[in-house]
Amino acid sequence: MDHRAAQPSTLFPHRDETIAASPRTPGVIRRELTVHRVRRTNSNYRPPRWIPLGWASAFLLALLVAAPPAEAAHRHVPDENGYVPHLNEMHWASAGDNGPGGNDEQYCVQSHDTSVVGHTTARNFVRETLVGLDFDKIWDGTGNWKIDLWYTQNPCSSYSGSTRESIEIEYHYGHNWNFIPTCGGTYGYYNCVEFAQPTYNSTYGHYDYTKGKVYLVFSSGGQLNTRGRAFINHETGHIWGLKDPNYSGHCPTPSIMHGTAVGYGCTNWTAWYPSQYDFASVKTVMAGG
Amino acid sequence: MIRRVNARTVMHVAAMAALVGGITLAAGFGRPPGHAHFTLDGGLLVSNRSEFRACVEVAEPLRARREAVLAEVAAQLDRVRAHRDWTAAGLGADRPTVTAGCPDQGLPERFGREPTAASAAPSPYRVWIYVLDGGSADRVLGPGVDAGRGAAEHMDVGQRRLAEVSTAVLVRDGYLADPRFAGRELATAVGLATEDGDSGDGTGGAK
Repeated sequence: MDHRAAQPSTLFPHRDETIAASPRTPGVIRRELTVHRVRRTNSNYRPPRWIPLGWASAFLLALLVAAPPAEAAHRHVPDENGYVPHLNEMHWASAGDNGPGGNDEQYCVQSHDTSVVGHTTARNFVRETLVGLDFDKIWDGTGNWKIDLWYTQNPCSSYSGSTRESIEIEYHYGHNWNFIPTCGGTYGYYNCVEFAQPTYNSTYGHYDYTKGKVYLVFSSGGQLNTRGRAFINHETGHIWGLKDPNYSGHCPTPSIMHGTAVGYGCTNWTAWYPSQYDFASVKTVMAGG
Repeated sequence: MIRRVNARTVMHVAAMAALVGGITLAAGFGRPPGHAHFTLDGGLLVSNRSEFRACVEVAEPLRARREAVLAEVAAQLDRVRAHRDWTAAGLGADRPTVTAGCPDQGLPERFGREPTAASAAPSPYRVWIYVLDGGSADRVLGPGVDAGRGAAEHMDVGQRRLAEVSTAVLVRDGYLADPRFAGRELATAVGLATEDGDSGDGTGGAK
């Protein structure tokens, strides 16, 4: 009995297809069935040597395309959109500490419903969160005082024209920001950030923004508790050029940008203040990213 | 010699191509040509702007002088183009193009009051210039105020962030030919440094 037909051929892997079985010969029929079973379970096909190499290359290429750039935290990194928007003045420090200098960051705070939170109450809370608490928990002073925050005496809208333009950051408290694109969405309760007044940074060769506006909603970021503090620090992180996670559950390092208080399904940062990774990332942005 | 290519080999190659192609498309590298995206690499701020373009809206009482107004705006933009950083800032190698009529004729009526809409496909105009007659300027800008600036268009840059990509400049007709209009207002509108720094004064700033 010839069993050779059941053996896979390395030279002609499909030669077995040409075996002509005689339906009248039981032995031949058995052999044909055997051949078919072998073809289903143990292919004679042996791919060319370059196929594994090709797959390895394809997977490597796919990884390079799909994987986000390696980042220490939510770093300011050039992506398909170029540099991440951030505040221009954070690149420099002003000398002196008697008042806001030209390279310092002034901020105003405004409540859009003073029956919920008064202007001064909101301002004091923002001030305490950004400036007034332990030095390792606040943005103020970061990068050897390149971030040097000073509050204005009055609400944002009390200033007009060039004076308001000179205030680098505005914090607004309200019920919703439905009238602002991207802040409202379906539910209307999002906290968000708006960058205004693009300006050329000749030192680093890219565009920055002169002004950032933070919009907080009373239902989350506008609360006067640790959750509110977490959102103030998160949105202010955007002002310094930090990004949200790439997707829910993307938690590369502990960060206020995906702290438990602000969502994103991460559990590796439960505090309301920026992590050491966040401070390091902001310093990278300061140095031109 | 022609070698016969096995069907499974062809399938392997097709699957490899599908893997790489699919992921590339999903990563956004396959966006259709001309699709606008935000960029901070140059002052035009939107990827599908290849040259500096400004639109000009002239107030109705000034209609009779419209051509002269457009020529003056072009001349002022040429002054800004002489700024030392114009080219490095990526504002275009050619002379700015000036077009009569802006996408939002009613912008001055809302000036300074509400944020502008976010557009997925911003206009080609980096700067929108509104030339106002005396009465309109008094009403919109305020008596004695010669010019004002604000966002004309925003882009949604993701993650609940909005960024200004077009800037509106409102100017009183009598101030249009003033060198300070180019040196201060227009230069600032396109993000170029001016002699006026941020003094930090006027707000009673405290720590």
